[in-house]
Amino acid sequence: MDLETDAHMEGSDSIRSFDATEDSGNSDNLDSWLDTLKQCKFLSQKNVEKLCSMAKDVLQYEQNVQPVQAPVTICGDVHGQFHDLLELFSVGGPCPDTNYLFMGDYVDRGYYSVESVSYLVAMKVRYPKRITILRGNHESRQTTQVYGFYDECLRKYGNATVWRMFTDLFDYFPITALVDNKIFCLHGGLSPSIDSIDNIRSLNRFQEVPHDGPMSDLLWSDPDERSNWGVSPRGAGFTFGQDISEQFNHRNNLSLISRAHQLVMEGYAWSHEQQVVTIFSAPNYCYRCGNLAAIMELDEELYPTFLQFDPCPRANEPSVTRKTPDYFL
Amino acid sequence: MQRSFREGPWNIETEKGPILGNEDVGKYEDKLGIPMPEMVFGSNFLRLTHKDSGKFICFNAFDALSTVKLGEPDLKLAHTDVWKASKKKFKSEVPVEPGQTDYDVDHVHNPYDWTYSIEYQGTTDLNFNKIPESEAMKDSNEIQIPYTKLQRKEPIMFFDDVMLYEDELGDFGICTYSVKIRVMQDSLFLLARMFMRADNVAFRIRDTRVFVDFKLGRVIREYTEKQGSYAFVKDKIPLWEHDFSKMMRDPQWVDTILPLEKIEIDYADI
Repeated sequence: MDLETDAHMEGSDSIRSFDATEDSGNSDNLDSWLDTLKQCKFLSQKNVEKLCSMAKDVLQYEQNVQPVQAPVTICGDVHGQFHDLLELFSVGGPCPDTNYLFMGDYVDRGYYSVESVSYLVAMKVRYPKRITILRGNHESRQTTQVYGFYDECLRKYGNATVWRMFTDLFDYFPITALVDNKIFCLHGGLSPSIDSIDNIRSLNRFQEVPHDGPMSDLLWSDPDERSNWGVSPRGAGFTFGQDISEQFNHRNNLSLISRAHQLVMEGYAWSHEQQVVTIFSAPNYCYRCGNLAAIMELDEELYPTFLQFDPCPRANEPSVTRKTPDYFL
Repeated sequence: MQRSFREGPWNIETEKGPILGNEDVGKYEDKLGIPMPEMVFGSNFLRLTHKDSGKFICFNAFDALSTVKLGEPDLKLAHTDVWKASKKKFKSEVPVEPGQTDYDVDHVHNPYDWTYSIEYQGTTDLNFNKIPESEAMKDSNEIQIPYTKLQRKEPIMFFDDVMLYEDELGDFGICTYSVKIRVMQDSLFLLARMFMRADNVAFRIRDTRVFVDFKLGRVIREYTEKQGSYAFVKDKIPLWEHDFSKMMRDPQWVDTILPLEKIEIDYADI
């Protein structure tokens, strides 16, 4: 961790987290945990408990709108595709040499949610100024019970304690980030209850993702071709049009809204005349979509370069496409 | 990846590729007038072509999605009322200032069936004759798919399973549509199944089954609709079953639980 990066954080609350994690005993632990995880082996329950407690110490001092400095590489949904997450770091360059910002959805769907979220949290604790991990709509108690993380924890640990420790930790994750005051990053999208970034600073984020209210919108909403606010035909949830993105960017002096949350074949997609970008970082999503993944490198001038990648070849994962004949009726 | 099977009186072709890219999604949306499911396997299809006559029946995502109903959907998310009430409350406490963007939670731009429940029975130029619905309901109906024969484990000469589309309903459930086929010595059988679960709301299954008897030269098609509330299905999970979510994800099991709401049978002789 270099001095320059630390210096720019001066005056923010996160100084304390820096002190808390520079204990040499802890970083030894962390390095050995990271080594274990890299082999796609999950940590013991006891170590997960230690890790989550260390992570809380770091994350509780981060802000609802966490400031981040360029250059930084921005990533979208991971969804438990651990081998592809390692591929992401090999495509984007190793952390801490490269700074990373992840926009949520580390768990559910894929087969290695436990390893993926453990790895990212351990990286966060090891290099707190080098990696930022935001909360996605899947980092919640309710969603993980339906889409796989809960089941995976039960399968791997034999009880729900690890699931409980992680979902308690998710309440501490920051919900948005701001790169050099110009690029606003979050999982879902805008909310009609939020006109300015300052509105977000006053939210209480330390809770389960609610089903309504601004915090829920930030984690769930989608951009849409139609203008203005739209209500999803599902009955709940917002879409926002280009006029909304333009107004928000103008009012907050932003150049771009960077978000994840939606699968795109190319791994990234511009919308609203480049006011909004969607980034999705799980290649061949759910092991059957055939999509590319992408990450967005921002240089010091905030100029974006997209790096796309294919799924990493791997063993031990069920192939969803090759099905054996069955006597279905 | 393309596969084909050309033995017997029918050519069977399948195609399996990745989901549609951004540009093609846009084209589909323009043509169909609704947002596309998250995963549309647009190049995928299953096609049966009768060698002598050239008549065909085919299953593909585009034609399937063209049967999604426009207009006010009959299902809403479980938390819709709570969500709307909270938005209205917020608006009354923090009034919209002039120049600010406004929103109306009771207004949906262009409503459509967001569960992507289709009424698709395949794309075909076969001359199907429909048998009366009252007949179709009866066990004694003469024209029906011979399930007893299909239960015999005759050798399968060709099998494939083709995904057509899938949507996660904004993480509030799932809708999948896929078609699978098995070809035996003297017959073939296919099942195109749409499975939909809206969390805490409802389940739906819409099946199209096609049976072809090669010797008889007869194609029998059966279309069924099943639906039940989420609570109804949840109640049927056996007490000894611990993996509750596995059951809720299992179309085969849910199919045995849901009540039949509609059945249509038609046939074509060739």
